[in-house]
Amino acid sequence: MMMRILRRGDRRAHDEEFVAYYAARAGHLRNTAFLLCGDWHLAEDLTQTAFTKLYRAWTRIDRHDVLDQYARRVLLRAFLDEHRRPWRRERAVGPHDDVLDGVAPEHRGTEDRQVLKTALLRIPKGRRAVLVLRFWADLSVEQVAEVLGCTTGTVKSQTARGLDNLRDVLGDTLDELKPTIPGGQP
Amino acid sequence: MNDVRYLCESTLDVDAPPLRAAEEVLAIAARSAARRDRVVAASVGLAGVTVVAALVTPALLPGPVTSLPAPAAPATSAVVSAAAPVPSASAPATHDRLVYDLLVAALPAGYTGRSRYPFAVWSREPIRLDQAAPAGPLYIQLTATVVVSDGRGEGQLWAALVSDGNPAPTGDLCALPDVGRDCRVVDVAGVPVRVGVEDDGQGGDVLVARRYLQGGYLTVVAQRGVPAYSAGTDLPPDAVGGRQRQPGGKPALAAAFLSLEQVAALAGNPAMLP
Repeated sequence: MMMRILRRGDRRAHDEEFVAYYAARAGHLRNTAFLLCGDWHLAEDLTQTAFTKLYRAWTRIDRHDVLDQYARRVLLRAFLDEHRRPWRRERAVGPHDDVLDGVAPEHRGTEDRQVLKTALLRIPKGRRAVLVLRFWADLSVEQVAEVLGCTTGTVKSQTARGLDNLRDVLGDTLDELKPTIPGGQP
Repeated sequence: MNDVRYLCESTLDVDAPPLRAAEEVLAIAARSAARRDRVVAASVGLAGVTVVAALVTPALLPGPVTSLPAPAAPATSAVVSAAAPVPSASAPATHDRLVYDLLVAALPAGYTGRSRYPFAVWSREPIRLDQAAPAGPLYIQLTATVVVSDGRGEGQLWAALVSDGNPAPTGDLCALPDVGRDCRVVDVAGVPVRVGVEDDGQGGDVLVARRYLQGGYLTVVAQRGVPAYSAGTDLPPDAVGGRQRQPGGKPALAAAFLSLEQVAALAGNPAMLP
């Protein structure tokens, strides 16, 4: 057990390293969580879960260069497990659902962002995770497979299907929205 | 591919709420690790003794039964009837707030309580504790820890709901393992609660009450001191500056703040379960 193998000097160093790692990486991890779940509060909880598990495993991780990958794996599993709970199941959104409709012209930028976020959330969560990890977190196919605990073939197929889903959801909307979002690169 | 990145970056181009403070995250993580150690120390007990083995151990010496004065039904036997309905050992972690309130409410006049750790977030999963084979893992569903103060010293009152997947035992509860000394069964309004006394290692007694449930048990523990987490010999997360200490640096309470019957009454209180 972790507590048994720690010595008193190790404990302090352990906590200091943990806090330093949190300061450096928590923001990125929470952003990843937000892209996955679309809710800042849940993203905060998922990040806390990831760091709690990371804390318990800290002394067992010999190579701290793999911390990012470990943290992502914990986060992803927490996210996927979270959504297996019956009361957390995502609600299916119909094609004419208000969630996607009704962009208010006076708040175009904000609403456009909401459309993009909602589009991402309409992709099945496994494919969403693959897309976020590959194209936003810049992980290789092999790294994504390791994080999700699946084969590289699965990652490739999920990527293709996820992109198809995204095209189906957005169509040409993404190109139309790009110039309207402040800071967006067309 | 670039569209996906663009979509993600656009989604994140908002004013996000402030990130949780590192100290808070560390405290929650340390609490979780500490809970794991504490329950191992208090609940798993003797290494190598399995819960499964305990459940099939025949009753040897039935313990005495004590009835609580007011709410208790007449105690009949230390042997638990197999026909008695028993709630399941399941609860959301966030039930810890209610349990905490019940623990604080049970403190006698002159004592105050405060939570030793932050309350669980709603998404916290049960903590898994692996036991020696062939016993299956334990899962800590929830814990609540009260630091009890009389203004001069500090003690601790805590409760934990643990699930192990085993059916509620029947027969003599004092024949099961981890009974401590002076084991007996207290009848709390018809609910059998096993109580016993353990040593805190510093000359004090730890009062332990355990209510068996379907698939686990609820345990309530009262002690005059605030334990440092030492399932082995190591320092707890609360250790600061390389030495163990009580939170607040106060000494242990001069006397026990609850009786065994009062601790049993808490464990048998139906409100402790969701």
